[in-house]
Amino acid sequence: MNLTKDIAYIIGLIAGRGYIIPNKNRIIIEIAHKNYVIKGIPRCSKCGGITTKRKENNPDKKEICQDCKKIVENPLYKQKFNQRDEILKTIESFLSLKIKELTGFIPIVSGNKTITYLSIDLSKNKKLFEFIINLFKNKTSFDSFEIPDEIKDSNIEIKIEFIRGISDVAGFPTWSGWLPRTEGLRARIYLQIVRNWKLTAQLYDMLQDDLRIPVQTIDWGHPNIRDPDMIEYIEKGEEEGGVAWGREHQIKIFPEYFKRIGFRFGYKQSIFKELVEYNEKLNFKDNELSYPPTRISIDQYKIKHIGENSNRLPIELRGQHFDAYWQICWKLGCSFAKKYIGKKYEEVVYLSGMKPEEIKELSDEDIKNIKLNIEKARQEKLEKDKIKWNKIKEKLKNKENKKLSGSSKLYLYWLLKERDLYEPLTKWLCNYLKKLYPKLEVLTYDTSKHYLSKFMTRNNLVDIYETYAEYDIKPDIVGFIKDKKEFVFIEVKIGAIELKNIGQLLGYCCIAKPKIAFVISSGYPSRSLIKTLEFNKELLKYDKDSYIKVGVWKEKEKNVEILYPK
Amino acid sequence: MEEKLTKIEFSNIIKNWLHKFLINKYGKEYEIIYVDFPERTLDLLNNHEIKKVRNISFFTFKPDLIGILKNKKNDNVELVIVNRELKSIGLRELGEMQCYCRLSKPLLSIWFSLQGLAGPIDRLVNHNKKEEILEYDNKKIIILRWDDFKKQIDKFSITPIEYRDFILS
Repeated sequence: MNLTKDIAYIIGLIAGRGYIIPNKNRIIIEIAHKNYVIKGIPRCSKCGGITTKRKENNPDKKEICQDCKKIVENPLYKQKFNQRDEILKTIESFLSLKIKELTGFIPIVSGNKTITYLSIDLSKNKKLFEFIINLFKNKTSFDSFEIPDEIKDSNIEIKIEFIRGISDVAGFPTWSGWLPRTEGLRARIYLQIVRNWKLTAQLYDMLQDDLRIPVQTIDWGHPNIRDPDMIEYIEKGEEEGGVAWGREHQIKIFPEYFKRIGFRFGYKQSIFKELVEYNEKLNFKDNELSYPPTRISIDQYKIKHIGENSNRLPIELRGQHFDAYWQICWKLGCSFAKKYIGKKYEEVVYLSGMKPEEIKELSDEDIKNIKLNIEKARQEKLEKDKIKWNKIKEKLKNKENKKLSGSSKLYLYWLLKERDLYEPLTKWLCNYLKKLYPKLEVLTYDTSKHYLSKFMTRNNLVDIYETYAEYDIKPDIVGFIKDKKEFVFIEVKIGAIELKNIGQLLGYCCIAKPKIAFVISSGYPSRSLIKTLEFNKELLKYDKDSYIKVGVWKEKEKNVEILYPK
Repeated sequence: MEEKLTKIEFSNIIKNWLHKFLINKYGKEYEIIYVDFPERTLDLLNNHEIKKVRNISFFTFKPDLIGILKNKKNDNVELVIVNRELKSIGLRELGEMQCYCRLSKPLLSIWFSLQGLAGPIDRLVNHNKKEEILEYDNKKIIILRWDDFKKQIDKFSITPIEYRDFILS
């Protein structure tokens, strides 16, 4: 199959935010639009100066004019767009036609307030579908796609179309990413790559090496980069703060260098142009476009973060500490590192960012001292951070005390009562499953505090249960029969079970199809539910021969009495 | 700046919309008896017509809004069940409605939301065509997003997709 510019663009859309559904000859593209309205550069209504919410002396985060220094309640914008409408317009006027030319079908479009999906039916062009499947080496989702070899080996025009496709679904030309510089605030755009480390590193190389587009930095979704002082970890706790850094990676680029790519989505291109014109007027110097490694100043060394060992990190990075974005690029195999790996002073270059030509002759003692100084800087930072952590912990404690007043006390009472059942029911489920499957490995967990997807990530179960990783399923207790790739769910209740409780579990069951599902309570079902279940067994059905089991916990016997289905 | 709608305001918008919709779609065939927020579970609702619905004594649930329609030819009574949510609609919400639908087999069942269907579920039902969670009695639960900015139903939020013309025409 001939890799045309049109196909390269579609491949870019898929690489950026696509899913391949092999058994349905279908490709789904996801277009995120978190903000309802997207705006250009904010300007002061009095003097026309740029306004920002700069943090210094601005506790209320108000827009302040950078010229007249006044608070600006309603900044003026040259352009404002309703993102959803604009995306739908682009789909109708451009994408649908392109896709129809290639596939013979108009794509299906759906979505909600923050996301739009379009799916491409390739059943009439199976050759193209096979071609795409092979390009992405049988991977099926954008969080695991890599730049296809055929794109890497193609000409510049094809590469530009590919990156343009990625930009349209994963690129965000917004003012909010500005950087303070002596000439003024310098706008940046970014490509947001979700959970995909390899693709980010490959794009970094393609942009710089092949297209000569300098990347200003990568805001990696890594604990050392996103939460360098472990503030978020302390604020949100281990549960949420321990993974909050892992959302996405942002490749930051000054828009004036991205002109040869740009965007096909009209509203993005329009705001992008405004950012380009603004930056070009200020005549920023190019001296900050030095390629890595770049010098790490002493105040840039970061403390060690608990998340450095997280299994959310790729093997190449797990258990390692990073002080600069480019060190992550280095470990992921980006091309610039090849110049230094295995060469003289490799370790010093990596730790300090000094280039070999900047390094005078160093003895082993000198190298030891460099390392000691770095560790000293890290230790000093840690001492400062500990003071910040204590303040945060104090604040959180006060907040918790306030929460425990009035009606919330009653809620907490019920919650604690429910939690009391988690441990005995987890044990009960384990015994129950071991009797059922004596030869298989069975794991049971209290998952009440987690979404199942997060829990599976933390416990290395994602590869086994990949299909369900993205659904926000939150049963209280889950059993994993690993060899069979099957789940068992328990929804725990206190008091009488109601119809609503059955319904909530039914929703999970219809999608995840657990081998067995229970609703178990400390009390018997309500009279109305008993009446309903006596005559409506089908209410509990969620698969061919699978029914939700309704049971009651017998505290004395430490056992469950199954009441329905009879 | 977009104003946030309260639950009560949203409920009233839906009630008005539903009333007009039922008249438009079913007005010729049915008499629209009742469109309101039930104050009790349906089996206990103090409405003469609903008592005629088959198996009403098992309807031990209270949707946010219901419509009661009476067939002009044979006096058969049909139900329309509507729930509403300010947030997005996920599996728990669909499961709850699935329960109501299995029991009451309504003429129509609708989840109204200000956010729409949660992304992964949208992908699953509208693009992957795995619609089991929506299906009951040869019909499907419908999900609609109210676009409060435009004061209308967001066409591309209508799920399942084949109901778009039915809802908007």
